[in-house]
Amino acid sequence: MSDTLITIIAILLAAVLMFIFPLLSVSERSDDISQLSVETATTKFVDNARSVGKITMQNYTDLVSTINATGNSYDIEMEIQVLDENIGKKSAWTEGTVIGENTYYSIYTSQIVDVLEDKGVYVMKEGDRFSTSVKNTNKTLSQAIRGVFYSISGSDVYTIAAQHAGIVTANGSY
Amino acid sequence: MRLQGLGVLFALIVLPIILVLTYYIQLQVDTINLQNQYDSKLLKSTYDAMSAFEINTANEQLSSVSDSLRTIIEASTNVFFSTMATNFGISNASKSYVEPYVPAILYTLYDGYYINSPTKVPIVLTDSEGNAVSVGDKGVTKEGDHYKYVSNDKYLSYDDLEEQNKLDYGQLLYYLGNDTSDSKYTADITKAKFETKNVLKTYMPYSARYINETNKIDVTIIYTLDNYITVEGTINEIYYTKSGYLLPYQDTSNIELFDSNNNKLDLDSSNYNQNDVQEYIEQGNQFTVTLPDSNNKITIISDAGEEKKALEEQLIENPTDNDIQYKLDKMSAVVYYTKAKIFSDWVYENLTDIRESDLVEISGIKYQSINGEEDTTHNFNSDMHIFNTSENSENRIGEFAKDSSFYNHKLNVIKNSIQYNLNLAMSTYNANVSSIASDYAMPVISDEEWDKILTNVSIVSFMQGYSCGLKTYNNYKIVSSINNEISVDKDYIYYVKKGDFNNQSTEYHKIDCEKLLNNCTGINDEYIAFTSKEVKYDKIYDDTNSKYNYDHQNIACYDCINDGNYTSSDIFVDNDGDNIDTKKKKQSLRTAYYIGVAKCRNNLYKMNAVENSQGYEIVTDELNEKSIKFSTVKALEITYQGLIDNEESSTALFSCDIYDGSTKLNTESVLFVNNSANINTVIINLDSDVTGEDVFSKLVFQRIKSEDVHVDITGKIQDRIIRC
Ligand SMILES: [Zn+2]
Repeated sequence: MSDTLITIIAILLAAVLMFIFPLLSVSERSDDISQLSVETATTKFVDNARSVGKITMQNYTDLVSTINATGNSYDIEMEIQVLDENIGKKSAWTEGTVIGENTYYSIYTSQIVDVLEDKGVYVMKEGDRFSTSVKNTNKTLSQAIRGVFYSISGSDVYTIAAQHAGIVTANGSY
Repeated sequence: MRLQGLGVLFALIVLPIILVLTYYIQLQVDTINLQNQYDSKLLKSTYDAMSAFEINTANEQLSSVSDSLRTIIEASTNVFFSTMATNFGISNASKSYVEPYVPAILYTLYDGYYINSPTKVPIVLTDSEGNAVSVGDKGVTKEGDHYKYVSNDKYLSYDDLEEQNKLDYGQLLYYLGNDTSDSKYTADITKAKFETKNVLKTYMPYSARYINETNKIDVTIIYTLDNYITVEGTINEIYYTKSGYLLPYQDTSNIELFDSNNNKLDLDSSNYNQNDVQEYIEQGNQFTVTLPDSNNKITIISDAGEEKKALEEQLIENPTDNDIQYKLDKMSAVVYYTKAKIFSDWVYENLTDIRESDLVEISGIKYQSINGEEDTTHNFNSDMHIFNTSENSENRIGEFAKDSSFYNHKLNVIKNSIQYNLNLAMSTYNANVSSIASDYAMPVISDEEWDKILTNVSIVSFMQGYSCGLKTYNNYKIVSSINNEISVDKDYIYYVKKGDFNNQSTEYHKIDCEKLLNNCTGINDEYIAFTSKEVKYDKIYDDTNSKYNYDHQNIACYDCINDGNYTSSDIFVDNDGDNIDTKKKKQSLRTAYYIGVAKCRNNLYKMNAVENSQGYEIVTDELNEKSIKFSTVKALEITYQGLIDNEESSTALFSCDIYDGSTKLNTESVLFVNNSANINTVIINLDSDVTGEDVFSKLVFQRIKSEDVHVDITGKIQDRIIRC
């Protein structure tokens, strides 16, 4: 009986070692590569937008198609923190721009996408802050395989996520 | 083989592959991350450099000399390198550590550009105060094949030099290349000792030279980011130097001018030149300009009744009196259109024969870029007339259409010049800083980016050679500025109703904001315009007037200014659905636009080399007799060299007597100016009150042998546009 048991254990181990482990490893590498391309695409999108001062529908769809080409589905969140020019306008102050006193109000993804669909361009101005974060919404293969062995608690664990942000350096125009 | 054996074998093969793959992909991810970080750092540094530039120009009283921005640019590059060093985790002091990784920083300004790049420069001998020392200066002596310098010793005169060294006279002294002792210097630059330094190269104007043999034209034209140009050269054997705003109409007759008696002025026969007409308007005389418009004519009347200076003083007393501000605005606008019309008439009369193929002296080369072989040069062989504006129509007065021949030609000229010189800087960089650079190839700047560089003052910074994970970093970043004192972008001029100007509870808008149109009540609404820089840098204290400049109180519109994604109205076109009221409102806004743009441009600092924008003509370049008769000369510009007398003396070098008929009015004399024999230029201003026909100036040279001296005399013609 002990011999049979050992054989069964050996076969199970072999299966894990020869099938599941390589699969897990390859799917994790595939996630790494997805991570790489998502990160590159996100950074390129944000840096381009903030150096020309506008988000265009063209750039946005480029971002969407690049990240979707990785075979996963993603959630893109954009945020523009619009610099309120009027906060610095208190007559008692001696400087136009008081350091540390800048105030921003935020515009989020749905508002931006609405304007993009309507006009094709979303304009920002110098001094605004623009950030984008991308997270996968489906379970990737590696997540699914790992899920078999140990459960991932909660749904907020992403394997592919990229974020980039920065100050807008130019005034955009149509 | 048993199953276990297979398993072990499999694991042995697959595990290393997986490990290497993991490591490699991680390296790739790190490289990309690092590259992104460097991109951000480079952009941040460039942005900081631009902020420094903006703040410095806002606080500086700029002079009209084109090189006057040099110190500001130098300060800006210092900020760039400091930010760079800090961002790369090195202290500010070790700026020299990052310098070699920056092959070039390009500053495109209003009428030219600067390139900062590492260059091999000869080490020039300087005295204790930092001034360069030349042969012929105090303390320079000849010793063998080289020169010696002992500060404040004695003079070496021209006659003391041996025949073969006479040419050295007046030349700068350099450290000797192969000699380590510091007491030997040479005037021969080929023997000088060189060092590699990041230097700001000479200012390069956006210029091009055109020679047209058949029409006897040989002129150099300096372009700017907008439609302001300077023309210098001979047309039909007459030398001109003129500058002004070029209007995009070959036929400028649809812009009409009326004097204080409402008489239409025909400038061809009148006595006005650009400066005189400006003076006349700024004295407060009534002057009217009518501009063509889609609907009616747009009329701008300057009828202040008071001098510009007086109005400005009143405004300092009563800063809230918007009527005075509006009078000043209209005055500036009328000056702008009148001067632009006079200048444009002259250009279209004299330069329409110039073709693109007349352009000379732009060297065409190929260069290695990261994309392969690139041409720097646009093919300038076309027969296109540059100043033929029949196809240049644009519904906004003063703006050339982007597809017009003038606009395209201008962009090509500027682009070529910049590419050529940038590329030159990069090759010098490769030759000199080769310890770091393997072979630096210039990145290709896209057309969209060129458009950005060539419409606003911009900084382009290049960085390369820094080790970045699996590769070396090579990229560039562009930052443009709209908030500076040296250029105006028509899209960043803001408008507010005259009565609401500086009222804290009302908003200012862009011209095409729908709110502005909706709040307009009709044709009689008047608007005050100001530029975005006045808001960004408002409350800058002006020492000379002891007041705050631009203390603008209005609130930025949350649609068009804070956000920017607003509903715009096309005020330049009347739509079919527009009722009569809307049409009137639109016309009122158009008037505001024309006044606003003109006023902002007119009030801009002009960095052009030519000061008073018109009328310089070389009267003679040969001085056979020492007295010349002028009837209409305001100033004399005398260039001389070959000074043979080196003793400092209180005797005037030469003097210039000014007569009215036979009555001597005064004597202007020029003392010993410079103790070296370099080329010197002096300007003698003649009294502008003397306007008689018989005024003449007699030049008396006391300490220059006139036969050895080369003198150019440039008279500045006071009268109207004179063709000698
Ligand atoms: Zn608005």
